[in-house]
Amino acid sequence: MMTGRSDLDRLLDVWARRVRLTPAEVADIRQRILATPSPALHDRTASARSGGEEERPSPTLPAPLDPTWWQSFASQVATVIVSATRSGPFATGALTASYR
Amino acid sequence: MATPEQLFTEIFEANHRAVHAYLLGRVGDRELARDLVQETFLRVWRRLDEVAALPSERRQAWIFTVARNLATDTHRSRATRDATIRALDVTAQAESAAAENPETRVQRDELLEELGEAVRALPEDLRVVLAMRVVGELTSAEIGAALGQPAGTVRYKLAKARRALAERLQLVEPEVGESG
Repeated sequence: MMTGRSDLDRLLDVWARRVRLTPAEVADIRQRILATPSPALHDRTASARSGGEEERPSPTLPAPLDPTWWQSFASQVATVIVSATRSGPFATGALTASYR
Repeated sequence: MATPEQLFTEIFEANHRAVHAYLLGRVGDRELARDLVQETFLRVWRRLDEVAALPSERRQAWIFTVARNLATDTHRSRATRDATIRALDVTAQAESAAAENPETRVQRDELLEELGEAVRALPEDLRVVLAMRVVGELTSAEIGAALGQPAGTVRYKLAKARRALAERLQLVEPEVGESG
């Protein structure tokens, strides 16, 4: 029988050295991760200057519409306006009768 | 301003040993723990902006939360409790045995084999604190901070783990409080 804490400590120490990652494994893990695309980092000093708010990317503008789309749109709007302001048959009839 | 690579390396170097020790205790498999270390730090890399902005103690908590979730997922998906049986592989790495008496080496290897069995047989919570202490070389306070447990609880678990190992290996474990 072995005796004392030192025996257990010594055994645990040897065990730990065997199960611990080797420097080569650690370097390999780090390299594999760093080989993946780099994450974007915000400039924290700029964030701090603007009161700690995260900087937002400027909004991108949508592509302009085709000129023919605008012509068609204007034409349809005009049709709708004319139709909406035209008097109904009953009203036209009533107006015509009152002037006879 | 540090580059992302520099920031990541700083965080990785400060935490990889503790995270590996924790995962080793959780999943009980050295190689699986290594893979989970890689996965943990890959997530750190992908969210470096968020992690780097945290104060160091919260940064470690963030990393351990990721590691804990990965270990839990692994338990569920791969029935790692079974993998535990084959692991904590004390023969995984050949240690330099230069100038060592062959008889002594065989005796020591047998003892290490028994130790591996005894560690595998520990309840998971005891195995985690033991691995973090012995493999990760963390103090009880550091283990407690990482696991969200009082240092006193960690010391109690460490003492319990040591007693279980000593009993199984028939070593005499003096009744002295765990330091650190």
